[in-house]
This record gives sequence, structure tokens and C-alpha cells, in this order.
Amino acid sequence: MNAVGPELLTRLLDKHGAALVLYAQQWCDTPEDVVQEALLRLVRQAEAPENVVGWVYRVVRNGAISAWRSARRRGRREAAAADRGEPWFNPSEAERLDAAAATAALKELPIEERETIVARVWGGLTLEQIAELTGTSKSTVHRRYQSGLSALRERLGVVCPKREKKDTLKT
Amino acid sequence: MSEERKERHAEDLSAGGPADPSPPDVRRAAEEDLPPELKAIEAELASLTPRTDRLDRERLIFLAGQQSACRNTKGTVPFSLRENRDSPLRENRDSPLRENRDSPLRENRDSPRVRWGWPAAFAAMTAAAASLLVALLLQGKPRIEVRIVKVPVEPAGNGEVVPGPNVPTAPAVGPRVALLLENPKLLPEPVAGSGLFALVGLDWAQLYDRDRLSSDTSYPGLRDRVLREGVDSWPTPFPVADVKPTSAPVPYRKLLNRVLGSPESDEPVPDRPLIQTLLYPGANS
Repeated sequence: MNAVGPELLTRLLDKHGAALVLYAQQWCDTPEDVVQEALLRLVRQAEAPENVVGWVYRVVRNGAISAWRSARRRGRREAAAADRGEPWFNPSEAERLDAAAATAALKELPIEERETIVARVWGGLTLEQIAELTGTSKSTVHRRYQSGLSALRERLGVVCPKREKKDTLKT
Repeated sequence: MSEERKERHAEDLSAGGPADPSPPDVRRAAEEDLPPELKAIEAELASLTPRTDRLDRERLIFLAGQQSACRNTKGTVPFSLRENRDSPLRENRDSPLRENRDSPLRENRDSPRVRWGWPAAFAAMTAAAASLLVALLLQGKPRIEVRIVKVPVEPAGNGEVVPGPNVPTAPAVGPRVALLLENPKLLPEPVAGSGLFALVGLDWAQLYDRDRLSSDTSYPGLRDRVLREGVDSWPTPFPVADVKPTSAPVPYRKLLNRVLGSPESDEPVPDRPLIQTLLYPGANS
């Protein structure tokens, strides 16, 4: 297999760059550096890995955790990224879900559930890929995903579409 | 959020990324397990798009090209972080102590001789030390063998103990020792009474000479004895030569008169004219 070329790198940046930054932000306050290092490390590889996306996510995860440990050793707060106040999502008035509220609700989740949701919803990874990435079983990932979504649903107040239809019919 | 963006994001979700190796039925099964209310919140979350302005795309592409060029030339370029003024790594990067890549010392360090010199020397010294340690451990301590030799003795007719015919004798037995072996009474009592005098590693000639020298009080005899056996063998009390005065002491004046020739003395002077000539040079003239 050949090395990673500029086309693949550009495609990775387009499709997964923002999600990778968001994924790394779950641990550290410098997610851009972590993602950049991971992508450059991918370029330095003599042969491209078999599963490029999974490989990059794994490198980003390891780098983010290492950065988080380094920041903790330096005496910084664990949730410095969350306290930096920068929004995680692009603001848009057309969206039904408030970006700031979603960010706040995500920050309150445990790191395992938050990581699973970010990797699944915005990273586009399958549950098997997340299980391989986190070193757990698929059932564990599925349980975390459901638990996280339930917590977000309660906090954000999202109504089930079927119930919403029933309510409109009643009225 | 527009419907077009939602559909595009939903396509990305269902595709699982550009290199998703998992079969589609697995993904579909995982999605079907979700209850409808969770699917709703999932769709709402998917409508949010992460910020895309956080990565410096141009800089990343530039660094990737640099890394790719260095990979082709088998060089190494240290990782350069994104411009972050708050990053602690920036201080190290801007430090004056940072290595100058164009320095001639770097080329010298990268040469094979320098690169392999110290490891080779270290390996050689380690091998030498290990071999010496093994040799030291295998050497051990010198073994001391204790052999008990049973000597058959045969009682003689007069009650004395005489060694048997198979008894080994001391080496270099001279004629005097042979004489002593025939006559054990000549030996000192503890040696002669043991019956094992033939096995004792003594120099029988010296033993014989000791008895002989104990009575030799002359200077050469004492000197030889001290040099051979030490000061402890010095006889007590110290032997004084038996010197007897040959005549009574002569007074000084008498001796002087005897030399100079006193008129009171009748003894002849051996060379009286010569002495007078020496004392009184002008007397004859």
C-alpha cells in the first residue's frame, strides 16, 4: 500500500477534520494541535494504514489523552477546554436545537458517553469501530450510546416525533 | 439548518466515513436497535455541525508536504505545532538552546563513525567485563586435599617402634641421616620417641647440625647459626670467648720510659738512635 497522498489528506480534512477536533476537545484544551500532529504522523507513515479513519481517530484519542495528562501535571484544570467558553458547533438560527445548550448538555455527560456520542454522531464511526477504538465491547458501546442519548434528550427536552403527532391529533 | 445539510450529514453517518470496513447490515442493525425517541435526539444532534474554522488548513497542508518531502529523502523534521502562543511547547521551539539544523556539528553527529563509535565501544567493554566476570566465577578457590596416610608399624624386639618396610622416607637422605635412622637414640627425645621421625618433613642434616652447632661458640659458627635459624636460636647465656689476660697491665709512664729510654730503665730500646734523631735533629752535629 502506498503512502498517504495529498488527495486522501484533503478528503480526510474535509470530512473528518472538524469532527476530529471536536473529538479531541473532549479531553484537552489544544485539540487543533493534537489533530494536526495526528495527520502529520499519518503523512509520515511509509504505508497508509488499512483503516485510515480508525487509525487517525486512535492517534487523536491517544494524543488528546496525553495532552490532558500533561495539562493535569502542569496544574491546570481538568476541564480547561470546557471552561474556555468556545462553542463547539457552528451557530445557526435555522437549527431547532440550540448549539450552546447542546454543548452544555454534552459537557455534563461522562467522558465515556460523550466520547461515544461524538464519535458516532459527528465522527460517523460505527459502534464496532468505536468499540475497537475505546478497547471495549460493542455492547458496552451501545449501552453508553443509548445512555448518553437518553441523558441528552432529558436535558434538551427533545420530544419524540410520534408523541408529537399524537399530541397534535388530540388537540 | 437546511435540509440539504441534514441529508448530507445523514449520508455521512450511514456511510461511516470514507474507509469504513464494517458491513452495512451491522450498522443498520445497530441503528435499528435505537428506540424512536433516541433516534429523534440523534437526528437533532446530527443537525449540529462542528466548527470547521479551528484547523489551519493551509498550514497543515504545507507541513504535510514538508513531511512528505523529508520522508522521501529519509530525513527527519521535528513536528511543528500550530501557532499557539499559549502553548508551553512554543517556548522550547523558540529557545536559543534549540539545535541548529544547519550546524556542521549535526553532520558530524550523523556520520556513521560517530553514530556507531560509542555503542561499539560500549558493547566491547561490556563483553570484556562479562567475560572477566565469568572467568572469575569459574575460577573458584584452590582445593586443599587432606590425605590420611596410615603407616603400618611393627614393634621391634627391644620394645622400640620402628617404621615398617613400606614407610616412605624423607627425600634427600644423606649418610648422616642414615646413621640417625640406624641409631634413633642420637635424635632429640620428642622426635625419637614418636616413632614417626621418618615421616616428619625435617631436614635431618640440619637437625644433626643443630646439635653440633649448639656447642660451637666461635664467630663463624654463631654467624651461620643466626643466619640459618634466626636470633631465637642464640644460645643463652651469650657465649663469651675465653680470653685470659696474658700479663699484668703496664703503667703508662713505664711504657713511655720504655719507648724513650729512661736512664732509670735498663731495658734496651729497639731503635733509640732513630727516635733521638727524630726528636732532636741537630744533636749529632
